[in-house]
Amino acid sequence: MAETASIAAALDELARGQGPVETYSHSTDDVLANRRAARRAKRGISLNVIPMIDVTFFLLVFFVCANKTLDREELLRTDLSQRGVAMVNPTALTLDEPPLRIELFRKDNHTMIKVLAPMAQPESFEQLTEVFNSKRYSPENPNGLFPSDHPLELAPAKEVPWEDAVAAFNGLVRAGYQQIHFAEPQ
Amino acid sequence: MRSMLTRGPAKIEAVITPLIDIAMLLVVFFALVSQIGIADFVKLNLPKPSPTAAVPARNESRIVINAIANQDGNVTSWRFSGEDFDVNPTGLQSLSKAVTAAIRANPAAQVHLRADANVKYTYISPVLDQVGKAAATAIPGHVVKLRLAVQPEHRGG
Repeated sequence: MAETASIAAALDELARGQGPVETYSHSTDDVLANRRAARRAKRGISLNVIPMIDVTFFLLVFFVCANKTLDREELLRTDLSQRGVAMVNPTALTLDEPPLRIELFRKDNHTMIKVLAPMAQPESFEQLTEVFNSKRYSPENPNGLFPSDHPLELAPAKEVPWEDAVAAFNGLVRAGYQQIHFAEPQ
Repeated sequence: MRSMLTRGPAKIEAVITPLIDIAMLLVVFFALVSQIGIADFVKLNLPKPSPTAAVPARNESRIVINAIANQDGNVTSWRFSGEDFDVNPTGLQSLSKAVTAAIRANPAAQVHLRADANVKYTYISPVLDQVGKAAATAIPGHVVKLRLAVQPEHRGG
């Protein structure tokens, strides 16, 4: 009974934050319990980093997911100045020069290129870039036929895959031309 | 028994870690399933011109039109702002009206056209028409900036 009373007194002291009471340690368990209690009492303010890690990882996941799709894309610039306005207001489509037409069509499961002008006919999109680049007028190329703002009309056939239409468009942009628009399918 | 009585009042403290976990899970969930994400960026096999003249997408306001196609390159519907439009004339008219409203609300927005690499041009051309009409109808004389979405060269696939 006396032992119980002494333990209770020790715990009271611990509860008041008075530290370990060694004099009541009659067994190893009591000693260890008292030391643990003392450590808890002395601990004070501590930094719990687990929530911070949780939040950090969730933010990481969020931003990775949010940016994944956007990072995957690039954009080819074009506009609908000829085609779109022409549909509504034909008078707005008064071109100074007729557009040079480039047709794409399918043959033997391949997309072929046909330029409606007396010039070398490209056999690939790479050649399309080279041919049109060589025909582009600039101070460095005074023998060029077309200025960079000369309108080009890209006219893919109905069955031409979008990939090839975009490849042709991309080739003309790379050749330095600025006014390229898609025409109605042939 | 006495020790239990002399333990003192129990400490009441809020455990906020589960709250933070749940809150962040909800944020991630809604970000992933939100209409904006779904409507604007349908998973597509975009064309991949090489070498490319394309420029990386910036954080500019945009109106995104997606072509939902099957493996044969036939478009089954057009998706704009989370809504699917049929590929028939009625669907295209509805798409045009929706795009007109979007351009009127945000005239500076670019129109991004996203279509699978194998989509046939016969499906693309009417949409180009409708976008042009929509821009001119929304704001007379307005020329919309059309952007063709492509894959960057340096990515695999």
